[in-house]
Amino acid sequence: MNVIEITGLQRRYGRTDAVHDLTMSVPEGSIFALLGPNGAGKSTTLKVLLNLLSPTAGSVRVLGVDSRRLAAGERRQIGYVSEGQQLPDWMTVRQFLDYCRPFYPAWDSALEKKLMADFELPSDRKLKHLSRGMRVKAMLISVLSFRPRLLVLDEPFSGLDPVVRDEVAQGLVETARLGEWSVLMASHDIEEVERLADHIAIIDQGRLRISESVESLLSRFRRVEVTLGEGDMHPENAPVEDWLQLERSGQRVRFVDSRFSEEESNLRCRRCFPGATVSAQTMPLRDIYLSLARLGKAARTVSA
Amino acid sequence: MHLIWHIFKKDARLMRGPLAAWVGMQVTTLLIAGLMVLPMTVDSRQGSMGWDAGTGWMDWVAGGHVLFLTMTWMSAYFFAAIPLHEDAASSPEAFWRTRPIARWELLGAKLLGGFVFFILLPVLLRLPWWLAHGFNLRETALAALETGQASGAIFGLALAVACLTTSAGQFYRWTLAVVGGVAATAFLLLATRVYHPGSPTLFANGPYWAKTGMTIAVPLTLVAISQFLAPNRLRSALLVGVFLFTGTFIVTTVPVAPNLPRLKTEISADLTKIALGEGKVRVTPSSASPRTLVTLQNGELFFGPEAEHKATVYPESDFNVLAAVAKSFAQSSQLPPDTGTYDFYERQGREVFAIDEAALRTEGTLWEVEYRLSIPVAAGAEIKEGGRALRISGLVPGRADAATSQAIRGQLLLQETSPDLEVEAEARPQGFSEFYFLMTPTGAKRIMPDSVAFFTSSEVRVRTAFFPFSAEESGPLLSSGDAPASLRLVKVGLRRLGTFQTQVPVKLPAPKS
Repeated sequence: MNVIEITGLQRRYGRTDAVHDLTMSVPEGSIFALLGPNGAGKSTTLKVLLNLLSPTAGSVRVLGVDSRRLAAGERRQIGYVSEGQQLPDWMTVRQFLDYCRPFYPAWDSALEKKLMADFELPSDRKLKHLSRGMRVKAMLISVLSFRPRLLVLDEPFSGLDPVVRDEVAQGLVETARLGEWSVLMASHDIEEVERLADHIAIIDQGRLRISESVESLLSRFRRVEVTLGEGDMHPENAPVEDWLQLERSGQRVRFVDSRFSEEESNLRCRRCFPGATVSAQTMPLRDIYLSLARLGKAARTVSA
Repeated sequence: MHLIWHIFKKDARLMRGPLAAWVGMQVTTLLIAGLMVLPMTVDSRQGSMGWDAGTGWMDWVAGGHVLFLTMTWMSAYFFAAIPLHEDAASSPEAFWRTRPIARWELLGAKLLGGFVFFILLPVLLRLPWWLAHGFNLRETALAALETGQASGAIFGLALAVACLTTSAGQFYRWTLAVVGGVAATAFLLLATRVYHPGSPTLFANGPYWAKTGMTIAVPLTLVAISQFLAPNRLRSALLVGVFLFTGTFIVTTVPVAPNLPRLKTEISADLTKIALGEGKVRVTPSSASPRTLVTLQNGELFFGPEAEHKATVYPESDFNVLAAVAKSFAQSSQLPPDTGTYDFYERQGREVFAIDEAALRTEGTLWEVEYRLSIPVAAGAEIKEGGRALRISGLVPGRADAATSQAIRGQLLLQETSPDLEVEAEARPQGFSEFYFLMTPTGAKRIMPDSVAFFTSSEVRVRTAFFPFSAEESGPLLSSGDAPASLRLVKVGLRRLGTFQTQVPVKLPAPKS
């Protein structure tokens, strides 16, 4: 079952398409990362699915309910943390949590205490006096403590120093073990996404580029290096669409195979470069993302 | 419901500082008002303190009262926006929108907060005042209603503008736009002479503006409610504009009371008996218009028996001072309007006269006409010399608007002479008369604390009056033969009103032998 189903979503700001014909789904129990550069439409997508913004076209169903009809009942199961979210800054951390608690019948005070201790938050300090990392932690406690069925995080690691980022990520991982919840996370922090997510969607210019599990993504992307032999065809004429970032340096050709499989890829290489030596290496998520981002940029340049 | 209460409590915590400041302003306003209604006497016989010297500080106090009053209501508008922006209805970034808070619950909490903080609180703060100043139950209820209307109007406007904006800065800009728009519209309507002479002016009184404010605030509140429940900023902004324009149009063009019902004020008096201590002036306004708390009370001027004060200035003759006390009289700028000035002393012999109601309806309404109901302030003296006696009354045609007058005219009348005296206009006996007035603000009566600065000193009581005849200045008072005598230079001082003087030609014929 999917906790989120997005179908043909479009959201316009004036004449600009922030999100264009987006269709994807978030499986229940997954940690789903929405990756994309700044302005890709990630935050807009999250706001639409939380009904903070209304869609121009298309539909979004969250926990089985049309996002435009999300009521208090559904919101009691959804936790949302956003870097741009307004908070009652005049409250102390303790007052803030006290304020949040009555809204959630399922509030777990023991978990709240545990998270307060784990995150080492000063309970008597006002939110406005907290560092950025502490604010994120406070927000996380306020949403994790009611054990949401769906946790939506919008750039939770943005602007955090590495230590705090690690703490927050660690907190998320540990907390995820405590409950059965799904996480949808918009980020451009690829390292943390790779560490946390099991599903990934990449959005660029409001359009969905890919959406699949991390495992699948990592397995189908390889950096391939070919040492050309005599009579091998010119690599620029290689007829394979899935080879990205093809480049030649002397007798060496490098590219990213975006649809790698041991047998199939080998076969294609032999077909193009019969005398070549081929080696394929796994790619970190960061490199995969960059390859796709460059591909999108190149496509935009061509279309422009 | 418990979530409404929970959000309300949160807002109460948020508003602790602003509310403390607001309560402070109101308490200060009430204290100043209390100071202003304290009965005070300025007696020019007490030495160097002149009329102006004795009352100049009152102007400062009154200015302070107006200042705090203005600050109180202006800050109410801006303070009201704080909890509304805390959970902005229109902001996609607002915290509440990501939490299980239904729109109606949030609206309920904000309306509850607005009612408690900005309607109930000012009413409760004024309650001791009303009770201390003799408001009965009905009047207290009316006073609470009037205060609630005024503060409710402010809250309604703040609610409408705040629910269309997402931050304080945006709220201030929209406020400027609203105020500028309303002012420009009003100016345009006035400049194009659409203005109806019967329409209220900015100087209309508090109850009027409370009601007018409510007529605009109620639809604005409805717009705000719709914005909370089904947000659409464009629609709501247009509706706010339409309602404000309509309200401005109505206020500046439509007569408030085109058909005043049964508006009549009767004044009855028998002045011939004033100097005898038996006279009584009765002012009986009646109107079917809703009475608010600053109303014209039935009033009576009592001219009591001889006062205890006696003065002997002229060695050969004693004269007794007749105390004249105006009792239980207050005035209002609201009732009744008058198309002219009725100088009481010109109306002697007429027991009752009424304001021309028809003229009132055609020439203006409640709000346009300056109220000049003449209330005589009188004092009298009796002079006996040998077998002759002269009773004399000083009549000051006091006015209900006297509180703002700088000078008023006085009239000294001979009311009665002993049978052996004849008074002729040509005679000019020299004399000097001085009136001492006790100015008692109307605070002892039903006056709203917010109106004190505008209505204090409206109750005038003549405490003592005497007619010292200065031998040095005037020569013999009661001359005989052809030697004329004159009462010259009658000085009358009214606190905060200035002094006036007049000459009264009196000729006293020679006593019959």
